[in-house]
Amino acid sequence: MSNKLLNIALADDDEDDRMLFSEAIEEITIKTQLTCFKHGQELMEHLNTPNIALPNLIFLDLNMPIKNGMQCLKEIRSNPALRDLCIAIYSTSSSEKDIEETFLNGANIYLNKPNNFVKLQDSVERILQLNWQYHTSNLNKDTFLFRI
Amino acid sequence: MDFKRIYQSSKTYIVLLIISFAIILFTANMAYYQIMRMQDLAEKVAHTLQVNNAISELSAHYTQAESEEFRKQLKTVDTNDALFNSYKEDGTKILDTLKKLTANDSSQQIRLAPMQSLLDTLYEDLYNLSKEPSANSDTLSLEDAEKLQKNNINFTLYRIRNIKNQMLAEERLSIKNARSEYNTNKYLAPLTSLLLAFFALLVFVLAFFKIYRNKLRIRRSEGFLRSVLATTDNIVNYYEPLFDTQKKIIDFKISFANECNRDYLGLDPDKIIGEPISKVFPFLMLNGEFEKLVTSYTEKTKITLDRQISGPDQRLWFKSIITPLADGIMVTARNSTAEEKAKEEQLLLNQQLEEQNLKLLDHRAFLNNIFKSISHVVMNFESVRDSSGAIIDFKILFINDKITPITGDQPQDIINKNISSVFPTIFETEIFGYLKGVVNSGQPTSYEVPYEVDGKTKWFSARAIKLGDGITLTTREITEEKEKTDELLHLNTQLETQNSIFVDAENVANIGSYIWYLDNGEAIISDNFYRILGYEPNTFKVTYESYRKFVHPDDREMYDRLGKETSEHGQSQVNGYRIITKQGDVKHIELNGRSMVRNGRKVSVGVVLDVTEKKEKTDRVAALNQELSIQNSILTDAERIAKIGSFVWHVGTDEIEISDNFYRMIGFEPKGFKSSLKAFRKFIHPEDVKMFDENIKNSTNELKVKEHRYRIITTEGEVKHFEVNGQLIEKNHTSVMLGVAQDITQNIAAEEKLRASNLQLQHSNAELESFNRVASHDLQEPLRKTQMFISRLESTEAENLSEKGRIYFQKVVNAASRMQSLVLNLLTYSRIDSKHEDFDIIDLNEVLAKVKEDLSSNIADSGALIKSEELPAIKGVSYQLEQLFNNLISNALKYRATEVTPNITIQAEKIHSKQIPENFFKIANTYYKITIIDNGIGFSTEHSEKIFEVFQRLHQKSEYSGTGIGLAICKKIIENHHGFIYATSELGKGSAFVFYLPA
Amino acid sequence: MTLFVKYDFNLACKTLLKEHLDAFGISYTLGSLGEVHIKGKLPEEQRQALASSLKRYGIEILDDQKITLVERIKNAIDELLKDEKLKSVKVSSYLADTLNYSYAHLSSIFSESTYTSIENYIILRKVDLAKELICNTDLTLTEIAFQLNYSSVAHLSGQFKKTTGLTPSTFQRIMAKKTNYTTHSQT
Repeated sequence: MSNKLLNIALADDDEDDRMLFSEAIEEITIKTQLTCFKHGQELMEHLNTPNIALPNLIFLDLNMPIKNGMQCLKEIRSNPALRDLCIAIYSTSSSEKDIEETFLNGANIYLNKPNNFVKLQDSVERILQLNWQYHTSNLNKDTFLFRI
Repeated sequence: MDFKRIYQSSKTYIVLLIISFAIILFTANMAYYQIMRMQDLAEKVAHTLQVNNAISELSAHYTQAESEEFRKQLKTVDTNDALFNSYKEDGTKILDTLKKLTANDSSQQIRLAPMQSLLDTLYEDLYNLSKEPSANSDTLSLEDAEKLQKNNINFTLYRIRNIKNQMLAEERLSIKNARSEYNTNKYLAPLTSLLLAFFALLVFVLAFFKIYRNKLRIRRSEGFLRSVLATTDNIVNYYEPLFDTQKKIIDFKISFANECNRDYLGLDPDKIIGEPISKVFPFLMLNGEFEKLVTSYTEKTKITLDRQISGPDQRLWFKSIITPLADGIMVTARNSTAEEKAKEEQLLLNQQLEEQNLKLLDHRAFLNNIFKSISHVVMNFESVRDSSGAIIDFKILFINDKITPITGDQPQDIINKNISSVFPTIFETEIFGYLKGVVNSGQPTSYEVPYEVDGKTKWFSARAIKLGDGITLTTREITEEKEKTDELLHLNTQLETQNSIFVDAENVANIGSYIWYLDNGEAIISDNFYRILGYEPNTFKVTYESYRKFVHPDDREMYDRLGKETSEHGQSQVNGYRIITKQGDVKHIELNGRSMVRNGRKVSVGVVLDVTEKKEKTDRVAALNQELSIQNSILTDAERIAKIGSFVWHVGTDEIEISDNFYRMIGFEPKGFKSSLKAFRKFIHPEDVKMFDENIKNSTNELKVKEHRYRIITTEGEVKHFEVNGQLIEKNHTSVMLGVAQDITQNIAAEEKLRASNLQLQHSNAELESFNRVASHDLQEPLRKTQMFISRLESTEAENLSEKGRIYFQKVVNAASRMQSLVLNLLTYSRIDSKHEDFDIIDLNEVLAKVKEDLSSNIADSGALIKSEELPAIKGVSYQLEQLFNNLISNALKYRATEVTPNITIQAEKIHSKQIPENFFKIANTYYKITIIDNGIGFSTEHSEKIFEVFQRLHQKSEYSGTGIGLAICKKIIENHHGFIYATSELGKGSAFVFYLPA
Repeated sequence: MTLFVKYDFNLACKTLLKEHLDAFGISYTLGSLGEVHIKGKLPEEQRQALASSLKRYGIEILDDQKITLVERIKNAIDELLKDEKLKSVKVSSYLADTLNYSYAHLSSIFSESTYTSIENYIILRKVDLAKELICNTDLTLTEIAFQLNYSSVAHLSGQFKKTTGLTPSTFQRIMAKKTNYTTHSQT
């Protein structure tokens, strides 16, 4: 159980953000294996590869070239094989419109990119905990909706 | 039915029964005792008899010893021994018997005790006697000895007899006693037993009757219960438990079921009785009700429950009560379907009511809006009557706020007061009488009434309509109308004057005028026309036919042609004929008429000229012209005031006459240039010339007039907007357009301005939206990353920095966080936008409470005291109002004086818009004035406007942190809420922020 | 002399596991992430023998008792939250009584295997129940607060906002829109 590595995916076009995120996720107690993608297209190609271990949780930036986060979200939610993946939006935008739209399209978690590394760590850890709870406990996945 | 009485009485009967049982038992016992006594007595008597017998036998025995013969026999030697022995044996036997009999009687025993020795003596004597003769041969001495012997015997015998007699006497006494006792018992025993038996019988009979009556009563209650059970709406069932081998209840047997089972559940009660409930009501076993039944049975508790059952054709609701009763349970189920339905219906009804209520509210709001938007004063009065029922006053039930500008009264102040106290003047005029009349007759009345406002007399038109026992009074200010009417009256008088002058002129000029109705030939002719004909005015009725008589017979043909042509074409070539007057004079008259429509009838209007005296005409026409010019000048004045110019255009030509004011409107003195269409066209704005030409063309071709607007460039180069309208008339066989042009430049300018500012608003909105995007993402993105790396550096590299480096680093941190708060504040500022928000009723007390909570750590840190009055609820946007209070209070905390405890006071009052000295556009009649006062550092009054502008800060950054947007946000929020904010302060003494919000 | 070796740790472990399992004659399949699915039941003595032989290589059979205990704690919490009668019962004593362990023990086991404390789990579970009630019933927030044993609506709202980052009303609005949205996009 605690030896299990959680499989996490991150799609973000910003190199700095990818770096900070991987540093943050490395330092938290839950052990993870992070795979990063430079844009939505790359993520979708990976997810559509046959016979791969699907990630337990995907962090998705909204503003990305080639294929943006919203497109990915819609594609994942309309694909029966990927529909049950847990998706956390990871974006700078704090506009209520963006937040609501991602929830409506099936995002589970909305995380504003924090401006502080410790905050990032705390947020990521909380999200992993929540994701863990939703996968191991009898919680209602239909109402899996959090804004961190 | 008194069940309790039955229950209680049976208890009494049980007691009575026990008592009677006890009595019977007692009686039986008594009888038995009596009988036993009797038996005893009888036995006693028998015993006495036996004793007597034994005694008599004894006496016979010793009597034998007396007899001589016995003695002789004793002497007989051969026999004496045997005889004596048998005699002695007999005696002993008898004595033994007697002893046995008297074993229980101690007194007899005592008496009997000496008997043995006596008898022994007797036997001895007798033995001696029998022996004597042989031993004593001396006769005499024998005889003497015998005699002595005999005396001894006799003496013994005497003593025996004595004892016997005593015993007999004793026995006799005992019999006598027994008898007397028997006699007593003989009477007493049957009497008592009879009495007691009789009493017992009585009790039995009584008990029987009582029990019988109870039985009847029980039967009656049973019948009643049965009818109750049969007629009740409730299902009443009685179940008895069924046990398994472990004495556990596994089921219930239905022991009773009433008719309702059939009615509601379709179950025949006769058939289900005796069946187990698991078979009849299988659903009971499913939803835990069975357990409840068991609980009720075992714990003897009453349980109620609700349930729904699918009946044969509908769903039924039941309220059940389970009651333990004797060795079973009674289940009463009330069919509550109707209640549930009623509940639903009531719910529905409630909803409808609520809707209606809402509608009513809507209507009320609508009505209120009407009252607000109309300029009429609307009042509703209720009659106040004296004891005889006559109306003596009216009470104001409603009045809208349009009364305020007139009388200065606030509606809420005068509502529910009597008009005698509010409008006492009504009683001085006949108005009160009018109002009374309306209430009494029910007929609406209208009247006009003057009212003094600010020293000026204003006129009001009022209309009163009866409503209930009262009046609805609608009053409208008609001062202007009244003034206009007065003016009209004035003009009328003038016209009358003119008319009379005209009449005179006619007279002088020998002119007559006429109006000839072409449809029926009737005509109205002027007084002078009558005179021309030689008659006094109005002496006969003029028709086409009656007038024909005056026409010279030679000219009648011409006259007929005139009539025909005028009727058919509206005009005629004929313009003169001769007439013969009453006096027989022949006069030549010329006429000029034109046809027009008057009151919807075609008429020909014209003048006739007595050319017979043509010579004298000229001077009189001059006089007439003069009068006309007066009239003209009046018109001219009117034109100037109304910025109206009039014109007469001869359609299709270049010829146009324009009024003096028209010249002025184009920037000329009257008649400043030669008016022509061409000349006028030069003043038209180049862009509108095309339209002007087209309109001229259309009017010429189609003889129709449309309303137009042109721009004119005056001689001064000013652009003016003219609105032109006119009508076409026929004049001298040509079409003439009479028209007016009005200068509407000001209206247009206002419209233009509005449009321009709207456009500007749209632009700035679009700009704001794009700024919003920029601020929320593009600007934040690099800032965020900067801060992120700062936080990385702070945690990992801070130790590696030099002292100076650490100071610089801290400055970078501060600058970045300041930048962030700036961006966020700007974002807040740009997002405050009224058009996207819905206004709700917001309780400002709640807003303040929330803000205080949000700022609680700041408040605690500064030790500030915040006092607030009861705040009102207003229409607004909750988060904006929170922001407003948050900014103002945190400002007060931020700019606090260092040496004193911050003290913040929040006040609220309701005031009328007229009482607000500040100049801003007021949309409401009343406002809430909210003031936030602090004792902080304040600012000098010269800055009081500046502080509300974006990025205006009065303090150095280092002293007080802030972005300079907080108050700008406040101002924007207040403006969004149609309010006004300002601040007053004195440097070092604190400041007061005041804002008004519509109530 | 030094030899350089390259080894596949994963393969090494798997091979080792296979050898041992084969030696014990157990029929099995290897799952990912260190799971061994055993067909049928593994007798206790066989399990212990396997555990001790694997221990030498640093391979440990995880004690599934902890997992079941955590599940039992969760079930007990669900019971506690759902049962009206247990409203006033104190969580710690309830769990200790029903599961027969000290609360400290339960607490540490729970945190160890779920990355969260029992207290936090209860809050999450309550908020989850509140979410369900908001979505699927017509109950007002006041009624929901009462049902879930909150002292006030404000308390519920506060905890809801703190846990989910959304106010109950925002959540309700999003869920209502989402239902429309999905049904709409499906048709």
